[in-house]
Amino acid sequence: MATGKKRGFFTQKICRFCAEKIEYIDFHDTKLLKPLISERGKIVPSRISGNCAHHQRQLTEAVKRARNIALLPFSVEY
Amino acid sequence: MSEIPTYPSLRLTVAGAITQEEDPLRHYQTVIILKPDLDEGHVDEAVEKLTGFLEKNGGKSTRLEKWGKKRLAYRIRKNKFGYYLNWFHTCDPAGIAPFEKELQLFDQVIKYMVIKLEEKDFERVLKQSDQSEASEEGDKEEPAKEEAKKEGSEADKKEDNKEAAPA
Repeated sequence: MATGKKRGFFTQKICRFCAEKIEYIDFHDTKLLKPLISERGKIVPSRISGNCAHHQRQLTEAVKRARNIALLPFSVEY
Repeated sequence: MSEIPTYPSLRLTVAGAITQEEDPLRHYQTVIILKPDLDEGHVDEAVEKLTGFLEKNGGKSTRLEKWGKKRLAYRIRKNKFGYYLNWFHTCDPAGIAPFEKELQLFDQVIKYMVIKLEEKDFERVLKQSDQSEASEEGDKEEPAKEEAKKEGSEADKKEDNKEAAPA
């Protein structure tokens, strides 16, 4: 790449929740949360996903709740 | 001697304390995972018991959603599946601890989570529930069509196999 910086799967640098005008991220909405989780089950950092701080904070809480109630995995082992 | 002394000032303070305790009835959301091998009837029985626990501890159910049987992301008490219940209710803050204790001891519950809802969260939940009820009525026809499609595709596959077998 010309800039020399690595850009992975998440080239989009706009907060997807702001773009879709989602005010609150529900923990049981796994369709929404799945793309923001790595293969290993980790939360994707906002510097890669492009989420704003406000929504990233909501996201972490939602993901942690979803993990607690077994909607999302704590870790995925190979 | 047998007369009980009365202290009007003291009574007032006691009465004030009681009213203060009764006022804050908080909203909560509880997600409960039941054992996967329960029938619809058994689920209803379990729900009745759970509402009994709640009402005993000064709570009241506002809305109960059955998410149904789902695959768990990890095994809980050797179960790979679970029957999810999503429950919005009010409860006396002092009654939450004994309520959770009873959930732990109830053998048909494999996992639970109680979340405290703020006022704005509860209003949002009410709005959502109104919307979902409206959309559910429209969605009912769609699954039937999908099933019909699946049957059609399976029949096609069978025919293909038959054609392929003699050759």
